[in-house]
Amino acid sequence: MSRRKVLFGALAAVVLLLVPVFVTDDYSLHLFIMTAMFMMLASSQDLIYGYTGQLHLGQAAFAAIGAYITAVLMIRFGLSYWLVMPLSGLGTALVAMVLCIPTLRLRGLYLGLATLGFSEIVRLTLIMWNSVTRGPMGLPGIPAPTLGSFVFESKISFYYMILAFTVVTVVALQRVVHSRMGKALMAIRDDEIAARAMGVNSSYYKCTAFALGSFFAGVAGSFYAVYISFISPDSFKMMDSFLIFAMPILGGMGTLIGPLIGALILYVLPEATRVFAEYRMVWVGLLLMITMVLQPKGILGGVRALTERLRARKSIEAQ
Amino acid sequence: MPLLKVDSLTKRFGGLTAVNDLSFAIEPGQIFALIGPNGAGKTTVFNMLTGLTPFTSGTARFDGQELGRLPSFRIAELGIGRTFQNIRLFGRMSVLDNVMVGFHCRTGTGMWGALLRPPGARREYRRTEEQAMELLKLFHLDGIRDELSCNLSYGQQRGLEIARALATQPRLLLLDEPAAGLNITETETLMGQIARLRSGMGKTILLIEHDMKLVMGISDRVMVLDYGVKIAEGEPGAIKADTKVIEAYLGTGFRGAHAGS
Repeated sequence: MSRRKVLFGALAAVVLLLVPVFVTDDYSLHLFIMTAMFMMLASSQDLIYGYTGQLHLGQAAFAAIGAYITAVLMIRFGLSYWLVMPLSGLGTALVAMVLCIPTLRLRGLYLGLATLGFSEIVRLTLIMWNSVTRGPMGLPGIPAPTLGSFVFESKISFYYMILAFTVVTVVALQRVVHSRMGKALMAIRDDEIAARAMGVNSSYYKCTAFALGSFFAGVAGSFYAVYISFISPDSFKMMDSFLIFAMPILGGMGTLIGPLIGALILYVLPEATRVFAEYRMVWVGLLLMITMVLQPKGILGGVRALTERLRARKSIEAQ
Repeated sequence: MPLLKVDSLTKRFGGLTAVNDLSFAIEPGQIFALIGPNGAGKTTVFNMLTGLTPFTSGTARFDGQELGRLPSFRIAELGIGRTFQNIRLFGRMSVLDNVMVGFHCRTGTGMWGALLRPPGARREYRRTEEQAMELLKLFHLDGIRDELSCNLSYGQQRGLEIARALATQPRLLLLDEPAAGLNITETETLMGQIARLRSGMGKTILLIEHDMKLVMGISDRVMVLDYGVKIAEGEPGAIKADTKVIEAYLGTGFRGAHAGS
């Protein structure tokens, strides 16, 4: 089993590294880059909701915070991207921790509404805080990151950059999930009272998960800022939060791979159906509805249930 | 010195006094049963002792430490473990993971340890896994370690709850109706397991139970609550004969039924 996993991982790595060799047109490569960024956002969303059970509808707002920290620090202070990128993540995590103070008591839909309200506060702050954010005009001319004499300008270089970020995110989350902390998070998700009675400091872990999830969202936003080199309050909309929320649900919550599948489908599908213009979101909506009716555990949840049934049948036949 | 000493513990929910001026003490190594009709306030006592419900007044000292304002997770760290009347397992986690959560307060790897996985963290994880497996063996659950706990039978879930509570390495274990919903054979197995927790593992046990055969069979001391008030406390034999207890809870048929058996 683990050998098969290693083999699969190696194969995936080769394919992902070779993508720019086969995908040469800029538009397609752009789709790959944006998909990877959404994978980062969806995976970290899943840590907060899928693993810890905190209904969170503001992941795009966290990405916006990370993007603006990057833009302001690079444009105004001319700091290096490699310093700014972690700072953007940490700054976003700090905002998330502050947000935890009032929202810690909230659960379920009430927490969802609070994070939605928070998103609106972020959007309005970005619009109103003219002196720093230039309001609705946004911040253009975010400098390209450099590494020695190498300048990240081409789509290929950004592809490898976001690939690295996404891999680090997924590996980090995999490690957290399969640890004492991860088990504490899932325990809180399944039954917070029982978790506390077993010695889990639920407030601490809920905040930590929220902060860690928003850290990666902030880094994703930071990447977006240098990749597009322009950000405005419209860069990350509330609709994006909903889309990011839907990704792990569609792919399979609490499965690590599920959010990646969900991000792939929910980002690429609307792009691929661009010919239908404004009707394209109808397809997305339809797909979500059909999946949820047929397989409430998401695509990967369905696949797992199926393989389990096959294995059970095989073991019965073997007897 | 008693392991747990409760003095004048009172809980009011609005106008209702769920527990009224309750005092008792549990000595180390005792199996102490708390019985009484439904709604007598037994589970409220458990919830107060584990920090889930704040008390209105009174004190509870565990090994000299006042429990009054402590959060649940601190009380678990101090060494009070519990199970729940309406089973509260982590349904979407595996059997093994449920028990591993129990070890949370006895281990220390945090977020950075999880991310960086230094050798110490790996060792701790493996050790926790082994210890959890040992507990699962005690309850014959080691064969289904990877099953989601929500897929277990009722009896298995009861066992898993006790295994998970034991993982917190409690000195005092609170069992809330562990035999509820079990058949006669399962109840007998459970009785043996509870007796072994005391004799083999040296646990002190506070037990809520309606199965009188179990209560009278293994308890050293029995306390009876009715409408939040203690109406009797003593050895099982004395409780069975107590007229107030028979009137409020056991029923007049109880003595006869037992005399016959």
